[in-house]
Amino acid sequence: MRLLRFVFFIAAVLSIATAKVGAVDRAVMPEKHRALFKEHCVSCHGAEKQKGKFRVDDLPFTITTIEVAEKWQKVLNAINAGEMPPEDEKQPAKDAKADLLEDLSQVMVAARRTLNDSQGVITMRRLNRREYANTIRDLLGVEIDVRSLPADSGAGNFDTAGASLFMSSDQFQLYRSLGAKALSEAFHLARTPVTVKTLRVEPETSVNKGVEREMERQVSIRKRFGLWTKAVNAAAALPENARVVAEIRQRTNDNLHKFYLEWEKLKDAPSPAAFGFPDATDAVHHEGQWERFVPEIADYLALPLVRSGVYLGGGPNKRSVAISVPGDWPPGDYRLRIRLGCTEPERVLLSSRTNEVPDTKVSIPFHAERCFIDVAPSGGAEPPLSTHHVTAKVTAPQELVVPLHVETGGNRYFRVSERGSYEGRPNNYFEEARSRNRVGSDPVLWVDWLEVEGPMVAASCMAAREEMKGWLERLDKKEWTTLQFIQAFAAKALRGRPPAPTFLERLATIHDEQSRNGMKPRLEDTLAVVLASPSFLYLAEPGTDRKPRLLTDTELASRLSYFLWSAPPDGELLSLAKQGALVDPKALDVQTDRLLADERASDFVAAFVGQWLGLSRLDFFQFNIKMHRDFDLGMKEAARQEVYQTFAHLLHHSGSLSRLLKSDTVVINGILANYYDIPGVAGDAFREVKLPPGSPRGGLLGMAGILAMGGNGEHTSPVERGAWVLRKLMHSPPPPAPPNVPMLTRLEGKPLTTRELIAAHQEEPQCAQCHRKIDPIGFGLENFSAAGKWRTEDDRPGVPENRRAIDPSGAFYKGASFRDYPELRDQIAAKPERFARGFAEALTEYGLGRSVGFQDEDLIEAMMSRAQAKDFAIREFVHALVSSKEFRSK
Amino acid sequence: MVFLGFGFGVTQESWLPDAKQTGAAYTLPPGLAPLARHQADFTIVQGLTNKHSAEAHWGSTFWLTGANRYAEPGQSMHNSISADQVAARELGKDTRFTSLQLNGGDPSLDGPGHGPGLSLAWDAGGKPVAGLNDPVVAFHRLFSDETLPLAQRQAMLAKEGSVLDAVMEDASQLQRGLSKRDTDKLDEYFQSIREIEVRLSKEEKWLSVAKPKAPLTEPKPGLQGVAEVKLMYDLMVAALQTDSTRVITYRQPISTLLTSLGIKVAAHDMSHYSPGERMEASQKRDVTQSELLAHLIDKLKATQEPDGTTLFDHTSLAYGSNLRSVHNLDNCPTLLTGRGAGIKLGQHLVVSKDTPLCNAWLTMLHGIGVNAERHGDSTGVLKEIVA
Repeated sequence: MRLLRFVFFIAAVLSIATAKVGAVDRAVMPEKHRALFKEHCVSCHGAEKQKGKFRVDDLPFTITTIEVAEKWQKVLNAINAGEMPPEDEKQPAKDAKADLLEDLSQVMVAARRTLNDSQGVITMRRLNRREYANTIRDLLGVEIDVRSLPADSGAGNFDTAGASLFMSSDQFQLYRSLGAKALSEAFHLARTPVTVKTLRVEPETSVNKGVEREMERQVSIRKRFGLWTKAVNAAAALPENARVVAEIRQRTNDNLHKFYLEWEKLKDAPSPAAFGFPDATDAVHHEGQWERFVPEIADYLALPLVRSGVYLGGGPNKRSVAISVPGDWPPGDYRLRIRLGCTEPERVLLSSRTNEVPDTKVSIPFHAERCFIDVAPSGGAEPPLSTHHVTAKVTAPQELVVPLHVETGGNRYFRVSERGSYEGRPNNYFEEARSRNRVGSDPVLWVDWLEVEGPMVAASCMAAREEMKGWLERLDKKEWTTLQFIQAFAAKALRGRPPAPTFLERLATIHDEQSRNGMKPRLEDTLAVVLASPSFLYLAEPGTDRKPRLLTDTELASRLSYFLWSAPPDGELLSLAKQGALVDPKALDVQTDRLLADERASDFVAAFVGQWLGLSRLDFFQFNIKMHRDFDLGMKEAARQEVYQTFAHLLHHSGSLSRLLKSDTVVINGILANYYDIPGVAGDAFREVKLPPGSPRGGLLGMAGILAMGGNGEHTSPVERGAWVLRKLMHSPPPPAPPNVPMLTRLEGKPLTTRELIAAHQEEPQCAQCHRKIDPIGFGLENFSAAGKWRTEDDRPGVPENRRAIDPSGAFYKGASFRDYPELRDQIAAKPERFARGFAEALTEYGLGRSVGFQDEDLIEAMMSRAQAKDFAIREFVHALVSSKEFRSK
Repeated sequence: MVFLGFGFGVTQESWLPDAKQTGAAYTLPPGLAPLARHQADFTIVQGLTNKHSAEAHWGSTFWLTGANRYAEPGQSMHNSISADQVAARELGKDTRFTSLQLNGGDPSLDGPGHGPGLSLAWDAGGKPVAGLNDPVVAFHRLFSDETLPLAQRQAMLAKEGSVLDAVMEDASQLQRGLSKRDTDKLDEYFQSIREIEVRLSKEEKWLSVAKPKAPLTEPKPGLQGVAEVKLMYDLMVAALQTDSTRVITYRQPISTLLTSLGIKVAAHDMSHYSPGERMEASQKRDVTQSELLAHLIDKLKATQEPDGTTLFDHTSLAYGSNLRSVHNLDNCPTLLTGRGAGIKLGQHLVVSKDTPLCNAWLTMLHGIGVNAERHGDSTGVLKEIVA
């Protein structure tokens, strides 16, 4: 026993000596805290007293069992909650207490990681929701809505972790019904010849006709109102009405409209009904609308291109254009083509028809940030599907092409409007223009026509559809029996694993039984059973518990394709697997490159990067469009895409991971360039752009999407941002938010700057233990607003003006100081190893579908050193993981 | 037996009664004020806690289970059976539906607030039990009869049987050679199939029994927030009244509830309230939820049974969350009502600090005649609440 202890001691010393940058911590409480425990805890919780039946004197400082971990958790909870030491006992010094809490919190994280780690075992994995949809697409050539399936996220790990991918009876039934739906659509498409059709809509014929009718209605109302009030006035002039007139005038403060409401009190005054109004209230109400609606309508109808197109815009007469895919066109992919352009910044404001504002030549401030359209389903009650940059002038319009998808039973109606219409953004411009020119309007976008064309068959769906067509023909020509059809389908669905003959027999039985029972057998229903069977739904890799084994080639093919495509292996990969060619490391490298170059790799980028960096937080709250005018839903989506596109760019061009910490280029499109004030970027395509000198952009911390996550849609949250930086960029995650920490109530209700508010965190050791690390980093980012725009003043309401100026300076806890954001960023960027390590661990967790623990130390080191040799190229990490023993083993 | 879980806790300052006023004579705080007319018919218990809970944003995952997330070595997510499912084993034997799980149609439901899960219910293996998110679907499941003739429905059931046989065959083939851990994983699949089998055999038993006539009209689709909760409550009453099931859980919506009240504050921000807009949002949420619960109690009291008693006399209902407020997981807000489990009503009780919440669940289970020895981390029944 003594020897064993000695050996353990040496091992512990060695592990400290060889500890690598940010390696997984051991669950050992540092010795320096022993004195504090002795002084403050043991007298009540020792061998003799054991208050609350709890002892700490015999609590081992090295945590090796769940029982010991639970006891330490209890200690941590009691101190965090402020219960221990009790108020009337001697209290430890604040710093010592904060240090103890900090270490204990980290030790608990380490203990959970050790004790609850998967120990390197990969649990068999069910296809997650994304993978299921992609698998159906590659198998059948149809895209279905899978939102009825559970999202497979929430427990805090990647959606590829088999241990967290559950199965329920309802889910089984859902797989069957979704499978049957996909199969019916696939059969239908295979049996119906595709004819591409086109439909064009000239929107002025409906929209502008409506505007003209509205103008006529308004003019008629005004005319009738004039006639009625003239008659009322005449009655009011009669001497016998003088007394009552004086009385009303005095009571209504000479308000004419209110006066007319009381017309009945006047002798000989005519009823408004005689002039076509239901009553006086209605008449007065309509007259009151004139100011609000008519000048804008009159101006609109006099716009230069109103005969041939529609101007989009907001305000009370907001205008958009729409088109629908006819109901008898099949579901599938369509193309929406829009001919449109931006208006000229100078024009004559014509509202003479209202006789109230003289015609004037005005210059309209040209709002480049308005030259974008949203395409949304139905009547604007739903968020946009996509946002597009309009780069042409009306003098030479462009044809913008937007992909649309129509599902069986899904939406067929699409609306094009100025960007941000969902949130009412164009109204802000309308009101601004009206305060300037008394009319409103100032439209920036003009649409000539809209066209839908299709169905177009996406390249990704073509092969599967052709194959299905061939199979059905054989069945129809009786070259194949039903059983043969089922066999071919099952073989393809199971990704190279031959279906068991007994399974096929059972499937055939289902089919036969239906006809025997007088039902019309539906092949779709039988095949749907395959799509709900475990061989299809799980990535099964038989193995023992004792020793890892190398994967078979077929298994490896699936593991690789689900890693880099979130989709099943294609023909090439499977045929290589069949030849046994994937054992060759070179062949595996070539295939890895091929898969990464394929369009399907974008699924890997979005899923992995999104989960790694926690981008789902962008959807946790709504952004306040009044405070952050340009951060509408289209911009939010672009901000999210910037993160993916930057990663993809680095992945495809052997770029270094450290460019995510700092970079002199950005990967952006038109809407982002407009947001960041970077000139010369037009259109929706993302491309690499050199940054102008002095720009705060470049790297993740300069991205609007990353910054916007660190807030609540209105104000920034330095805590969220600081914690995110520690977690994702510095590989030094603070422990999860502890439960039951008492709140600071001292400062309630006082208007404080963000900095003052959070300085309060340093007061109590329970808070300071984490916040002394988190907060300074968050403050260093305060020059970015809650929507990621550069600013110099805090916008929190109630803060007096002289305290608004932002002070970003600070220092890392027990580390270097920084004066401003660029210095903060540079210091983070100076330590790419920590970032790379966090990335390597995340990539491994995603790729293997399990947590990373002690046993992976060698793997992570190997990935790090291979990548470091190539300047931390992202691609190298992927290659290193794929070629590792762990990736190729069960 | 009904469990209503609302995830993101309450505004403790205005929801929890003054701890010094216990017993029957206590002042209802503003957050519970809409329940005043029922004050004699519910009990508030303070001091109950799931001691293993440490996830500051999970208000529902362990609420009815009391499990320790880290109890299993080598697993980072462990759970155990929820109290409703324990009850369903007994109470579900003679009803068409063994239990009914309902969820708010809130897209962010398994995010912060409630925590992971597919409903409030977890099965005997600690796996999530799926729930129905759409009141319209729930309505049809409960009350819409198949229009097909009996013979055809029998044939369809037979076909369902063959379908299960086929996938079971595939599963057994797959199981060969799997490691222990993978076998456990596949067991979830077997378990789901077995559940369907049980359901099918039950359906077969009930095949000739027509579904009860719906005591309410078919709901309109697309209701959200307040209207949705009210509708789900009405459906629950209908399900109990027709004895379609005797065990119901409902994981209530948060985000959509706030939206339907015209509140712009996001749910997570609301839960981290401080005086001002966020606290107002949190309090408005409390009051609205209390109004809805008062409406539910009204309905239960107004629904007559053939013997002259009311549904309220036969129902045992718990309303609460694993989260108190902000990040606090102790003193879980707990409201018990209904006379079906012999719970002492009309009380405000403060039990000794850190009494297991599962003691309350155990007491309810005993009260309805399910004599489990323990539940979760329970240490015994909660004598204080026994009438």
